[in-house]
Amino acid sequence: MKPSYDRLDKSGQGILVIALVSFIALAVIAILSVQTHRDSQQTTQLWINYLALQTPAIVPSGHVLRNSGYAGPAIDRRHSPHLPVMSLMQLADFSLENEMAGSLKPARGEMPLKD
Amino acid sequence: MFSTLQIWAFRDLLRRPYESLLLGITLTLTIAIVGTLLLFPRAVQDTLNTLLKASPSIVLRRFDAAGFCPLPVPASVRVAQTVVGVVSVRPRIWGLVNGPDGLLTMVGVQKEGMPEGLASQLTRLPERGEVIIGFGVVAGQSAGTLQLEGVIRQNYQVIDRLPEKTSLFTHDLVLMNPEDARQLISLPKGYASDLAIDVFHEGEQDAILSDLAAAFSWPVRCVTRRQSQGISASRLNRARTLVAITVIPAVLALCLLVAVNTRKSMGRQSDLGIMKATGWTTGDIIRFQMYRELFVCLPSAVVGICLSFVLVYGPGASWVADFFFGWKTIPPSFYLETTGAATVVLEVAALMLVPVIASAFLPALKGATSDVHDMIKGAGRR
Amino acid sequence: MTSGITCRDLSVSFTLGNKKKRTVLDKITAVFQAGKMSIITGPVGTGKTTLLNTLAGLTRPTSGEVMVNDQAISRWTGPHRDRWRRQAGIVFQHDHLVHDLTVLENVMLPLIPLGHTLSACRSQSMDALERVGLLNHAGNPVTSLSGGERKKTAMARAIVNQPDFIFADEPTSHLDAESSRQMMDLLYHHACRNAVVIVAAHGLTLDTLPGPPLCYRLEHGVLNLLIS
Repeated sequence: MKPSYDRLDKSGQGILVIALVSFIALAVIAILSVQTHRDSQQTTQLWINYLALQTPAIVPSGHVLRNSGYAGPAIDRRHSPHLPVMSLMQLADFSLENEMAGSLKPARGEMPLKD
Repeated sequence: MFSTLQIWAFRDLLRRPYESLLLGITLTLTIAIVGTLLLFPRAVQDTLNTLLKASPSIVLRRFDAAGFCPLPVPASVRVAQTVVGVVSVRPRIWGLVNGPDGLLTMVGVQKEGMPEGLASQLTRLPERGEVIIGFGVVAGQSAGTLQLEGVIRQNYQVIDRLPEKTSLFTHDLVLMNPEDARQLISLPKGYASDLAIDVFHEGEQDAILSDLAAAFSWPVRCVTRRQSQGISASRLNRARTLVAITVIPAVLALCLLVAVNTRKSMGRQSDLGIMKATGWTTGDIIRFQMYRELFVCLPSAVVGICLSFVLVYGPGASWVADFFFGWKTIPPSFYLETTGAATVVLEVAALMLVPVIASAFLPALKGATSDVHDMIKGAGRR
Repeated sequence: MTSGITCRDLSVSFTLGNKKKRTVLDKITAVFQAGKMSIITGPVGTGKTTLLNTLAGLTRPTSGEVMVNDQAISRWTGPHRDRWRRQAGIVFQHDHLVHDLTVLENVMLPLIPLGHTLSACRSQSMDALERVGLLNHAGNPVTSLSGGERKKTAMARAIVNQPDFIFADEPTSHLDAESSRQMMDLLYHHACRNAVVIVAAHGLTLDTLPGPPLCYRLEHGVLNLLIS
């Protein structure tokens, strides 16, 4: 075997190795990009659609978030600290004029009530 | 395959192999940590936004002086359908009930309208006295039963579980027969909790709200999909603040890396002087330095980002969610949005690589204007 | 083909720590011809190394010019002078070899940026090592060499690219008589191939030189021609 007086061949091999490692890492990124839980996404969307779910179950805090939906008069214990509730003050000072669908508010005196 | 200059640049790394290896490992881990910190909230937001596209455009609720109240189904559906832009109206039977470990979301499910793809995932829909529970609902004393408390307290037979991978939305759900649901929350027959409304065009969500309100003879409150997304995003902001704080140590580590790298590079003035004395131009030296740094930084960046991707998007990767949000029992499945992930990758690359690579060019640029003799003499000052 | 190096009114001064100025070279005018070996002698500390560094473009003169082929290279910007130095080989007084590299790799250094293949660089470098008698040490790290062997390695590095200009500062230091003669033969051989060879040395005797050189003496900043 020819003796080696330098480490340049080893250097060439070293570049090959790091190129290979980089390609493998890029391939993993590409695979994850293309195939990130597609079936999971589709299944979840089917359930959301079927059940007409409006909000995710989970907020970052790990607690359940649901809009303060219906909890009829018989259930007055919307006591979860993590859910927005209609406060007593709001109940006491409940003015229909202050409640309006969505973000629109009618001018006072133009309440869109119908018989 | 590689030019002589590139091979020489790698040979130069082998002069201090352990230093180079240590720098590479440090960079890889720092990039992986910072990448994960930046990618995770983005992944959560992108995933929620993706999934929320399947949610109803508007949810309409009736309210009175006491708060929310049920609405009569036939009349409400008829009225809503008269509003221009409304495509479908679905009554929802749902409420909040007490389970063994806290509040649960109870939903009455109808057989009609169930997609085929879902039917195959379940044994069957629940009959009276039966429930299907989400992944995060803990059954009661007996593994097969669940006690729920609404207007009444009742035990139900658990016949199935919702798929684990849908947990982001189904974590706390209890699906039951509509009659059981009504009984549990005292919802009269012919009434629904609220209406889920879909509109023809995404942009019409806000536009038809006033028409919807005007169509009903009692006060209503609507929440749009956009508002739901906003609620989720505002909750995420708190997590982002935490991320920003945890990134600080990583940035400090990076500053130290840059300082060490710069000092090391400046100490190479004598070597660069010898190279210039033997005919290397400033351009040759800059290319040499660039290859030298890229051989360390580029694979470190790629492997580090790969690690971030695996930790956030990889199957079974849950410790990040546990660390940030305490999601011990929720297996997160995050979906990649290309622009979102690409933004994070670019941010990480700019934050981490640019200073490190720039620090290596300083001696070459300094040498461009220095006398070669002075550069060589700099050996003693290292 | 080069006609030689000319310096006109070349002066180099340094500012000392106490803000005093020390003039090392004082308006030196000389022509160093191609095809002849020029020897610069003088006592220690007279500025032989400074003159060599200035002629090689490693440092700028305070005033005056260094001309090559009617071009004032001393006025060129750094990048141009760097590129010109590809035609030059320099043997430093203190060798200035790169630690952590082998002997062969040190000799290869001037060839790397020229775009040659690795095998061509190796082959040329091995030839140069053979000419200085260091082929057996090609794979050794330079830190394992003696002073004389380091000087020979520096010489091999200087001649590896068949330069048109060779600047050798004390090329025979640390060498025995036989090796000294060998080094001077090598330099003379290059001079005969029409290179400009300038040697700075304070301990050379003329009868050890292979051929008639141009001899200068540098003293008190002034360069005087002794023998032509």
